[in-house]
Order: sequence, then structure tokens, then C-alpha cells
Amino acid sequence: MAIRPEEAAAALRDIEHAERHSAVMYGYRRTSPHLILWGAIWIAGYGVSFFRLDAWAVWLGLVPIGIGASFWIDRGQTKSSRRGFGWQYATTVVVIFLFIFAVLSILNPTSDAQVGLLLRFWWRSATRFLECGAAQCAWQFLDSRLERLPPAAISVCRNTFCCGWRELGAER
Amino acid sequence: MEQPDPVIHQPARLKLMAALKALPAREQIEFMRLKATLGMTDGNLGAHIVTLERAGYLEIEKSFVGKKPCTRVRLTKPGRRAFEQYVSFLRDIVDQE
Repeated sequence: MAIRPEEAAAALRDIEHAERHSAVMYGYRRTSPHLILWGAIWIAGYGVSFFRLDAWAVWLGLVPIGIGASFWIDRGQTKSSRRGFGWQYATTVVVIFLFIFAVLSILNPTSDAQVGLLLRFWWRSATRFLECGAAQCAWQFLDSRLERLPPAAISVCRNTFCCGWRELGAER
Repeated sequence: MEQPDPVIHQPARLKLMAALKALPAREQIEFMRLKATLGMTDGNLGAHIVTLERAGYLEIEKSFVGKKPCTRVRLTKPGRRAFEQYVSFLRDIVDQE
């Protein structure tokens, strides 16, 4: 069974295409329920804040609800697979909370507007991160035991965060 | 590897293995999702899955969600290894050019 180099190259291209398509579909399937959930929470939180500027406390209720619901969604997803309960998700939540806590401790925002600006900045960073597919790369990166992460994803993340900080600085 | 693995060599099975390899280890995927991802018909996909299962490259799990049957497929360790060997076999051919 002899294979010519052109056939081998074509097969490798097909493999790459199939792998990429499958990884993208998997990423959408895993992340879309979380994005919808947090979009709804975002709408609810900012909807209330729109009518009452001092209603920042609503986030104290919404965020735990969101985290609980995200765990529930993740549990449903992992139940349908043979993987363990989402340790990646738990680690991500802890890291995000530590990051938020550290930033709030250092920057020490004094008004709702400043807190809102920070939240907006994080949200935009997160959505850009997801849009560029870097989150998916990061997910695969964790799952395949640090197997691979394209340098492009690292560069996009760095640029996204740098732009976000510059915008924040300009608005303040 | 002197000769390509005849089980994986078939183009549809190769795509199927590639799609499963892209998922995290131990992750299962429903038959219907796999069908949508690969754009194959029920019969075609089912036949290839059975062939790969006989070779020990896939594991099939059948269950019921409510009253609806649900088939889930996952790549086994030997399957992952065989696929990686096949890919390196192809790379060797391309590199020798």
C-alpha cells in the first residue's frame, strides 16, 4: 500500500481541518451555555443599575447565583461524558476571584462608576479572549496536559489586556 | 511503521479519528453531534464506528435519555496511539519528498 507524498499531504490537511472543526464545535458546546448565562446575569445586573445607581449590591446576589448555575451547567456537561467533575472550571473560578480581589485591593475603586468601568473592562477582555479562540486553546492546553498553545494566542491575549488597560487609563 | 494502518487509512475513518482526537482525553461525544461535525450519514458513520470499535480504537456506550436512545463514542488509548502513529507515518512520507 504505497502512498504518494501529495496524497499524504492532502490527508494531513484533511486531518488538520477535521481536528480544528471538531475542537471549535466542542468549544462552542462547552462555553455557549456559560456565555448565555453570564449574558443574562449581566443584563439583569446592569438593568437594575440603570434605574438605581446605588444598586451595586445586586451584584453580590447575582454573582454567586451565576457561579452556582455555572457549576450546575458544568456538572450536567461532565455527567454526559466520562471525565471527572470540572476541576478546570473550579480552578478558573478561583483564579478569577483571586485576580478580581487583588485588582480591587490594589486599585481600591471609590465609586460605582469606577467599579463599573473595571467590570466592563473584564467583560470586554473575556469576550475578546473567547472571540479569538484563545480560551479554547487554553482549554485544550489544560486538557492535553500542557501539550500545545499557539504563540498567536499568547500574543492576542497580551494585546487584548494591554489595550483594555490603556482604554481604562484614558477613561479615568 | 512500514505500512499504514489499514483501519485508519480509509479517508472517512481518518476524519472520524481526527475529530475524536481533537477532544480532550476520555471525552465522549454523542453520535448525532459527531454526525453533524463530520457531515456524514447515519449509516455511513455507524458502519465506520463499528469498524473502529472492532479494532479497539473506539468505545461505544449506549444509554437512554428519557425514552430516547443515545449513543456516545470515545477514542481509546490504543486508538489515540494508532492515530498518532499514522499521522507521523504521513509526515515521514511528506518529509521524504
